[in-house]
Amino acid sequence: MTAVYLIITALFGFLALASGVSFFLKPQKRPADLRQRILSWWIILPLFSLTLISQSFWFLLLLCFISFMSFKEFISVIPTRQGDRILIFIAYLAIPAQFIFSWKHNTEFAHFISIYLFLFLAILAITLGEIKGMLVSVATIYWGLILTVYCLSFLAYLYTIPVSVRAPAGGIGLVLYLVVLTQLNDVAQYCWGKLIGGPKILPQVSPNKTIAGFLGGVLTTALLSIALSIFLLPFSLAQAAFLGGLIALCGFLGDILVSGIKRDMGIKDFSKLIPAHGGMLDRIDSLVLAAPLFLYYLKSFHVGGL
Amino acid sequence: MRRNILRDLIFILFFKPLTWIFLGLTVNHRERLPLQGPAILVANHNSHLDTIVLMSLYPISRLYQVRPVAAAEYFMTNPYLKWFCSCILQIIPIQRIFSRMRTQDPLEKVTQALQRNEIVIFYPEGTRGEPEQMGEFKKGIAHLARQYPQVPIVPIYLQGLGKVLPKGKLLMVPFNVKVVIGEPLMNQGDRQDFLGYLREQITGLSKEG
Repeated sequence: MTAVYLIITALFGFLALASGVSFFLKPQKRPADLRQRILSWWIILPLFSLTLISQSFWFLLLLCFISFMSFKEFISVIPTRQGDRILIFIAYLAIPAQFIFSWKHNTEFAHFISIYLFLFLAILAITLGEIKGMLVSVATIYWGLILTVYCLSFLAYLYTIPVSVRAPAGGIGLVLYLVVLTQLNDVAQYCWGKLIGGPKILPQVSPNKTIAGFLGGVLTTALLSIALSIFLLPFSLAQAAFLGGLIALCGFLGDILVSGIKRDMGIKDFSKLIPAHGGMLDRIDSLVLAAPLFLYYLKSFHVGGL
Repeated sequence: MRRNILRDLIFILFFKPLTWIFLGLTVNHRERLPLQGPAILVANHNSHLDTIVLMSLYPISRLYQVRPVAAAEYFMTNPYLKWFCSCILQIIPIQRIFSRMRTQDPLEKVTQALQRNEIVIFYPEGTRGEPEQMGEFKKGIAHLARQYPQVPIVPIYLQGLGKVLPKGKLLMVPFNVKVVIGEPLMNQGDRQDFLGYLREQITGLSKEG
C-alpha cells in the first residue's frame, strides 16, 4: 500500500505543478479552457483517490455512479421511442447487478449483459408489442450497456483481484495503474499534439488529434508504464513497456470510438457535467477498451492462478 | 408567501440532488433567470417534473417567491396532493373549466401574485400534452402581457422531461434534461400575434445547442 500512497502523492504533486504552469502562462499562450480543465481535476483526483484507498464498497459505489452517469448520457443523445422507456429502466437496474457480479468475481459477470440481457431486452420489446423500430432500439440500448456498463465493470473485477495474482500492491494497484496510465495518456497526447502539431491523424472524427500527439503519447505512456510497473505490476519491464504501448493505443481507440458516436449524433459533448471536460463519457472514453484489454493481458501473460 | 423550513429541506435533500444526478440538468444562460419578481416564466409543458426543475433553478433563499400556476381541478382534489401543492410548491390554483356564469377573472390570483412581486411559472399550453411536443398556446398569457407591459416575460425551453415522466405514466426513467432560458420580453403585449411570437421565441430556444 505504501507504493499506492506514494503514487497518489506524486499525482497531487504533478497536478500542483500543472496548476502552477497554467498560472504563469500568458493568456495568449494558454489554451482557453486550460485553467478550468485543471480545476476540474482538483475535484476528480481527490474523489478518485479517497474512494480507491478506502478498500471498501465506496469504490464500487463510485464505479456504479460513473457507469450510471455515462449510460444516462449515452441514452439521452440516441433517438429512443416512448415504448423503450421500460427497456431503458431495466437496463439501469442492470448496472448495480453487473458491478456486483464483477466485484464478487461471479462467473455470470461475463454473460449477464452480453447474453442474458441481450436476449431479454429484445424479447421484452416484442412481448410488449413495441415492434416497429424494435431492432434499432434494442441494438442501441445494448450498445450503450456494453460500452458504459460491461466494459467499465472490468475495473471492479480488477479491484478485488485475488492475492494469487502476485501484484505488488494488489487489485488497488492494478486499478491505479490502469486509470493513471489512460488518463495521463490523454494528457500526453494533448500536450505532444499542442507542442509539435503536424498532420491530423483522423480529422473527420477528432480535429485536434495529430500523428505526433499519438506517437508521443504511446512513447510517454510506455515509459510511465515501466516506472509504475516496478511498484504495481507482476510483469517484467519489457512486458510492462509493451502493455503501456497497448494501453495508449486502446485509450486512443476508445477516444475515437466515443467521438465517432458523438459525430454520428451531431453533438460536441455528451453533457456539461465536468466543466471544460464535457460529460462523464467524454472523460472515461479511453478506459472503455483499455479495461478489458488489461484484464485479458493479465490472464494471458501472468503465471499463476486467476 | 413566507419561507417554510419543510419546503427548504425537501428541495435541499430531495429535489436539488434529483435534478442534478437523476436528470443531469444542463442550464443554458442561467444568468437570464430573473431572481427578483415580478416576473413570469413561460415554458413548454410535458411533465409534472417541469415545475420541480424550474423551481430547483432557484437558490433556496428565493424559493418562497416562486409560484407555479396549476389547474385547480387536477391538483386540489386529493387532500395529500392538495397539501403538497399548496404548502410545498405553493401553486396558484386556477380553474381551467368555467361554467357559463363566469363572475370573476380566471387569472385574478395570478395578477395578485404579480402585484406582490412574486415570480410566476406559467405554462401557456395549459396541459402536458404529447411527450416532447409543443401544443397550442392558450390566450391567458397574452392578457397578462397586455395588462402588465412592465413585467418581464421570460421564455424557457425544457427538453427531455417528456421522456423522464410523460403524461399518464408512473415510471420515472433517468434522462439528461436541458433548460434553455431566453431573453426577457417586455412591452410586447400589444403585438397582434403575441402568442405566435412567444411560441417562436421558445421554438428558437429549442434549436440552441
